[in-house]
Amino acid sequence: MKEYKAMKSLMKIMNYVMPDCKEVAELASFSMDETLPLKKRAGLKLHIMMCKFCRRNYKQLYLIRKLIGQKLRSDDVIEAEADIHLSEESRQRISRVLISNDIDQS
Amino acid sequence: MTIDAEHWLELYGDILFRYSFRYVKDKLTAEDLVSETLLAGLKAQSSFAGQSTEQTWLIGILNNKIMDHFRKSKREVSFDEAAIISDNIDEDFTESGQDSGSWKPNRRPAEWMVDTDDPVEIKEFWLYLNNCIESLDIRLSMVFVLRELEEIDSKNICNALSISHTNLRVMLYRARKQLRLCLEKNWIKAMPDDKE
Repeated sequence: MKEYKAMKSLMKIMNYVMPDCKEVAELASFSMDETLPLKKRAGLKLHIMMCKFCRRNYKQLYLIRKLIGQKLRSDDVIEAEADIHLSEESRQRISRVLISNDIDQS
Repeated sequence: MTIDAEHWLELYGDILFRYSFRYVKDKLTAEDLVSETLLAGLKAQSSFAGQSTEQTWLIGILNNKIMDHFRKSKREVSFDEAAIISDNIDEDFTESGQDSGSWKPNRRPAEWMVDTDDPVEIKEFWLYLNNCIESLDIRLSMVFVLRELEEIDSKNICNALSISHTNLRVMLYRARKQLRLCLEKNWIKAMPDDKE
């Protein structure tokens, strides 16, 4: 009985501190750009431990970031837009534009 | 004067071009926008307040050029982040009742089985990712690309795009959410062992 009571009050406290799924989804995204205040961080972690869907959402957001990062730092070139860069000719063309503009002005 | 621009071209040419090309999808047009950006940068040099890095300052200028380009070509795009922000109905979660704030049954994230070491899966991921980015509202796509693909921090993105920190958080949240769902519906579903 004592235990049951303790459990009940614990649940009450948890419900009070614990954010709902909607807030957890927002916090998951915010956590990728900034350090969350301790209370928010705790609420996020606690909720994620107990909620399968929020856990998936959180992990998947970070997985997407991880996969993007892997590519950005890998040497093997896949045909993706991230590999697009200025060709030497383009550089020279732009350079000429800049120089001619400078002459025009002086 | 041109020395700065030549220096910028050297340092930031690739990122400016890559960013520009993603939106205009034509190498010559993208290149023109980079030239215009560097010229505008030269003229506006005195307005560079040092609040952001030189790189993000130039991206900010380029961003306006891209928007102008779309306006001229009359492509239907929304430029107004206020409109994106003010729409605050979150269709993923129930709005009332006992379950208020929890996932709607048909919106619950599915399980993803991804082998991050499999080059074929990764290649597929990039294909779908780029398509999904393209399906986003252009403002959402821009904040996502700058944050996750160009790895620019929030403060600099706010400066480059002239948006508030609060709006940026909301925009990134929406962008990530839509992308996650888009990847789940397309990339994850297309995986061969999905049926098990």
